[in-house]
Amino acid sequence: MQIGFSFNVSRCSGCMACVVACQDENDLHGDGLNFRHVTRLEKGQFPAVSMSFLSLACQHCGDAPCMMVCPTGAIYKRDKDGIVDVHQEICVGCHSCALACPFGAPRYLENGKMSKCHFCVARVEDGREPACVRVCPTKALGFGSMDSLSRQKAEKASMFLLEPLMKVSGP
Amino acid sequence: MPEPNLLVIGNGGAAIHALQAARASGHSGPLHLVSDMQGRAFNPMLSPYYLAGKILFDDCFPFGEGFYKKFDITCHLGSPVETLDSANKEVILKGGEKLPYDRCLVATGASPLLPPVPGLRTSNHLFTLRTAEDTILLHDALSETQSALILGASLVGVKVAEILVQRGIKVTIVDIAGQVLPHAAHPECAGILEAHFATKGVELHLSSNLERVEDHGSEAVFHFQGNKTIKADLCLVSTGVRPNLDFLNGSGVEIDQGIIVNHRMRTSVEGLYAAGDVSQGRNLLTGKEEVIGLWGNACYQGRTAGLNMAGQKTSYPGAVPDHISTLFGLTLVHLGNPMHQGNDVTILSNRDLSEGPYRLMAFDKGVLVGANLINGFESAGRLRKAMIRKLNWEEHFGPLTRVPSDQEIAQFLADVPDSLSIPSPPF
Amino acid sequence: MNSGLNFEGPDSKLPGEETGIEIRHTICSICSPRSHCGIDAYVKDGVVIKVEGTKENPNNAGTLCSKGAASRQYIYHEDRIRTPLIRKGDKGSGQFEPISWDEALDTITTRLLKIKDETGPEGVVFYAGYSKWMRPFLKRLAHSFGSPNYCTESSVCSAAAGLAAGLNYGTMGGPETGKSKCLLVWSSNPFYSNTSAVRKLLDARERGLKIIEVGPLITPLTAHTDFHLRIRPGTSGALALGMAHVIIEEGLYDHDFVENWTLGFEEYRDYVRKYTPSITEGITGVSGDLITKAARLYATTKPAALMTGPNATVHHTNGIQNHRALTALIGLTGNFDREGGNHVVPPAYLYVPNGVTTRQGPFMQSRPWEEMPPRVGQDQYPVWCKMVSEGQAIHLPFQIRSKKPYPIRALLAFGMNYRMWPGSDFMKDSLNMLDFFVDVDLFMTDTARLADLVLPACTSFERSEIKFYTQKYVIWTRPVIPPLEESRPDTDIIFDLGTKLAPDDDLMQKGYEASVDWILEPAHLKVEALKEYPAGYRLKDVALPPYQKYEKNGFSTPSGKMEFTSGVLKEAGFDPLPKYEEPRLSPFSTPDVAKDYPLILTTGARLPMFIHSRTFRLSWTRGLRPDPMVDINPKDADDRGIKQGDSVTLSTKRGAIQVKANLTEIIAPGVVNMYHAYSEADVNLLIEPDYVDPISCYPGFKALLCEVKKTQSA
Ligand SMILES: Cc1cc2nc3c(=O)[nH]c(=O)nc-3n(C[C@H](O)[C@H](O)[C@H](O)COP(=O)(O)OP(=O)(O)OC[C@H]3O[C@@H](n4cnc5c(N)ncnc54)[C@H](O)[C@@H]3O)c2cc1C
Ligand code: SF4
Repeated sequence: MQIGFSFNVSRCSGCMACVVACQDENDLHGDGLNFRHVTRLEKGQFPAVSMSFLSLACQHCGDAPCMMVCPTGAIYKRDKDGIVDVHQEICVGCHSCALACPFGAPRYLENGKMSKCHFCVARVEDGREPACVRVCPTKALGFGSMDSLSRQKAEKASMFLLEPLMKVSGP
Repeated sequence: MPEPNLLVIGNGGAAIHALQAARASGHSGPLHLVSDMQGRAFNPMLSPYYLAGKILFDDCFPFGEGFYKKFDITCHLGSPVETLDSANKEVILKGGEKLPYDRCLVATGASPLLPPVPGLRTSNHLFTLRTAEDTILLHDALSETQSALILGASLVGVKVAEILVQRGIKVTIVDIAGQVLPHAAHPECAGILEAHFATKGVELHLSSNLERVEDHGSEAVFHFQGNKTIKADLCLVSTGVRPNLDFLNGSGVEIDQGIIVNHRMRTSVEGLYAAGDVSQGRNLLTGKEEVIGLWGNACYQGRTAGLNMAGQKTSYPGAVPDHISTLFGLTLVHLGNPMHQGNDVTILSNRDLSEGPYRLMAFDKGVLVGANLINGFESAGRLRKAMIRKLNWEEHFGPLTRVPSDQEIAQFLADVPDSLSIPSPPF
Repeated sequence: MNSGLNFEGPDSKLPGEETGIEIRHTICSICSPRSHCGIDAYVKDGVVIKVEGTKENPNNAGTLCSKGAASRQYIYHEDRIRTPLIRKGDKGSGQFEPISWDEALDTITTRLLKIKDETGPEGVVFYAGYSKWMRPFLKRLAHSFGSPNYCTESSVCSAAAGLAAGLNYGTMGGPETGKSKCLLVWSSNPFYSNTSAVRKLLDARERGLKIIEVGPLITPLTAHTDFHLRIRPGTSGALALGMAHVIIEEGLYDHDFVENWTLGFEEYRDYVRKYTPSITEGITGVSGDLITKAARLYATTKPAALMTGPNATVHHTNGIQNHRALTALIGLTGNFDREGGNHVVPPAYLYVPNGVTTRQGPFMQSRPWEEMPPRVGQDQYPVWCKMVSEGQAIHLPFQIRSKKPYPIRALLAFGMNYRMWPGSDFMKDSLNMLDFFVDVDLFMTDTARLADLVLPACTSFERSEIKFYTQKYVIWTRPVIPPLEESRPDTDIIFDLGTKLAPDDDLMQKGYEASVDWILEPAHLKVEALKEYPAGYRLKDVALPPYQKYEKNGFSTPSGKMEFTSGVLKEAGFDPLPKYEEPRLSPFSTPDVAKDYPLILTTGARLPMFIHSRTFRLSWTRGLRPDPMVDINPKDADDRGIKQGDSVTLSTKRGAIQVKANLTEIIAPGVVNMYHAYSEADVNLLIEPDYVDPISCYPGFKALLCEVKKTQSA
């Protein structure tokens, strides 16, 4: 089974609660140290402009490049749910994963070791949502098994099919 | 039809990933591994961490003891392959033992290259760093060492220099080129690094041509063109590597710098595959086939070979030259070719380190072809993706006049269709 | 704050016996009482180690915004004041020494009683900033002490919007979004100001709700709208008149309502006649075609509701009339107090309407106005004082300086920020002219530094309070952790002072819980009973009031009708019609100023991670937008050779601040947007202290003139 995040771009307001909830859950007090980041996207020029947001953390890739390039085997993928996690004690802090990850997910703690979104694995196993999903005020972020997520997407698609991803506001 | 008999030569990253992938994809026939060395697979890139005292020697063998058992691999350890008889599909080991195969992977990696300098090869003070044995030898020598000469300001050379400096050893780095990291850093970036290395007490001798080495008891004397001499107790040669493929003489396999393979890691000879530092791969930036001496590339190539040998049809497109490492406290990223030249090339950099991390980006007709970053590496993976996908930055940013910020890079990539698609499993 | 990171691995924060982590319920009170989301605090060994939204709480249903999620850094911040402090150095020197609570409270009562004796109780101002929870008790203390001068941050917050709508209708109702078919959102960004409410808004949109947005910025709402009318700041009034023009000319107004329930329609109709779509386009910058389409959509989709921000439409030198003009559209289209329109529901407690009746009003007004001297601002802003039950705080520095009509000698402030005042240095200097200034706060703020005595308050996590939600929900919170060091709940301080300052006030003597019980009595709720429901209690048998109450009771205006021509304004000597005037500083009203300051400056629009200055000091929220930045359109930036992230000087005739440039298309060319309250880049320094609306004294924060230049580095 592969677990994953779902993200509904049309509902995200860029409030960044997900970023902070993750910092709170993971005690990431350092300035700018965050596992999740929100990117603001603007399209067009005045007067036809649209704005949208993208909230990203580790995607727990099906074929994780970070894991492939990890020289120590510190990065591993759980059979059970596909979560990509790091054995902190094995990581040597070589930063290879920073270069491999196409999403900019890996972060490095003060001790030089890599740390990143671990899908709140203990919470999920306890029947809770990841902290970012729980906090999301617009329910733009969700999670579930990839199968169920793509099924949901297909069901919703009929409704959203005609709505472009990002709407441009009129002059 | 019985499952084919698969044989892998080598016990490094490429080999291990090939074996693992073949088994994981359902291959139930025999899996043989042959290696010149005893013991588990060694990862050469971990030896600096051992030398620096950050990990145990045992930690340089990242694939656990149980690996071979778990994947039901028959190991033939301790004797190198001396001949590969492609006509009869068998390999002949040093002791004469013959092992047949249906499909064979050559994953023998590379060895340090020694420049043809009189007296160098025979010097008692000479060290290289590649194998487990090299690592032990160097490690044991360090306690006696007071001064060291690093021949070759390569990434390995500078990394070792840092470790030696931390141990209180006086270090001189010598290179024939006019800058450090001539293959990885743009001259401007190299200049910043050189100044930084100097503050750490490293003596740099660039544009220095070594002519001859003489051993004088406990030390060696290095004679350079122009009557310069340097003395040192220890010399680490880090001037590059060459593929281990002597045993392929007569096998008929096509070789350029390394073994030539296609996107499925097949060589020109039926049933024969190659992967890792011994083979070539496609430089996605130039489209040329060349040796890409990187751990990640070796693993991907090995996996691709293993899958294809086991009957899966998967391909590996290639890689861009890239590297990240922390040198004397600075994290340096090298991507593509920062030294790229041409009529339509724009090179942007923010020289002013006080304004934040250093970033140099080289664009050819708006496409990123090379980059160097010092410290600000959060965007490194995204830049690499943009480079591989040959995204046009000019179309997004307009005329390129200044280095984009991390935020702008994230925005740019988020805006590219499918650039957010998640890598999915190969089988 | 630096990384005290102790990465314990992923299984460290699950509640349970094995982990010793317990979930305790409280509420967040960082932002406005409209939100105050329910919080589950994960507590281990008396320390909050994590927070998340309370699922059972219908307001936030388990979610939080970035500010609430940062609660832990708010509670445990190193800037928290830990003991009462008395000034040691010169006024404003920031040098203090700890003293005991007894000494501190004795000092205050002695000083205030002496002033009362010497020059009367009105010389003491009682001020409430954020959070608002202590307001009912502070106002009662002020009046029981004898002072009319209870002032609050509502002098720049939502009171003027209530005032303006009140002039039209007596009382105003909020949008009944769930039942509406069309929502006209006017200068409001609920995504950042009332995050817990937007889930329902998005759901309604997915079900087909039409949305029209008016405002100068692109917001997260914009992508969900049918039309976005991107006005020039300060021209809301003109746009509303332009829309009224279309609605009247095309006969789309509610004839029945206008005929039977309004005053002054003919004058109004004659007045809006000149606001043709093309004239309005010239003023507002919104195309006439779009104005027409939006007016038609709003007028013909029934029911339609109007949602305004608390203050973006009234932070103008023409604010009251602007807001009157736009709220007039509700009556004009027959959507006043109608289902799915703007439904009038009186607030139950602390600004939250939900059908419950309490005695908050009578509790606060422990002494009638007639028995007290005039309030701060009463002589110059009589309409304010008629419509709003407090003094006008923005006028306070003027009275401190002029001592007219009487001297202000002391200030007892809870959560005050002098940077809220236009010309904040003017207010700062005025504070230094007081005989005695006490500031109660969580943190050692720029304002607390000016005080003679500083008292440490505590957060919502460390106290008990009563909180109502619009979703018919109520919670009496219990402290989830004890107050940090010597800090205390604001109410403890107020009631302790009350024993000596208001000895004749029975409820002040009985204390906090007894007072809350008194307030709640009409709702048949008791603190003791609510304690049984730590996560909150779903109110039963509470019905919202009926619609169209005016049919029975009329309107509480002088005429008893909805007033297009306001009787109150007429009596006070203002134009009774909702007349449009240019902002006092604009390219049209002051072309000479615009020569040097060609850009329109609008300030104070919400950002998602900040609420005024309150979360600036938390590295989690500050890390999301580290630098003070002015939003500027790439075209204007290009004209000035400014690039993203450049250091720039933002200046007006009054002053200049150093900020970073943020090039963005969310702002139109010709306009720049600057967030407020930064210590290092306080945009209110650029605004004259008297740049205010003549009726409400609300500052013109949202439209003035400025210039942005690249800062030449030394
Ligand atoms: C000091 C150092 C630092 C490095 N740092 C990095 C880095 O930071 N990032 C990065 O990406 N890469 C780094 N590399 C390079 C990386 O280690 C190699 O690219 C990678 O190990 C190649 O893997 P491979 O499997 O192709 O070859 P190898 O790991 O060399 O494995 C070859 C195997 O073949 C065996 N063998 C050789 N000849 C025979 C024979 N005739 N018969 C049988 N067996 C034989 C060897 O014993 C060995 O087991 C570094 C290398 C060194 C030396
Ligand atoms: S860190 Fe990056 S590469 Fe690794 S699984 Fe997460 S998203 Fe994929």
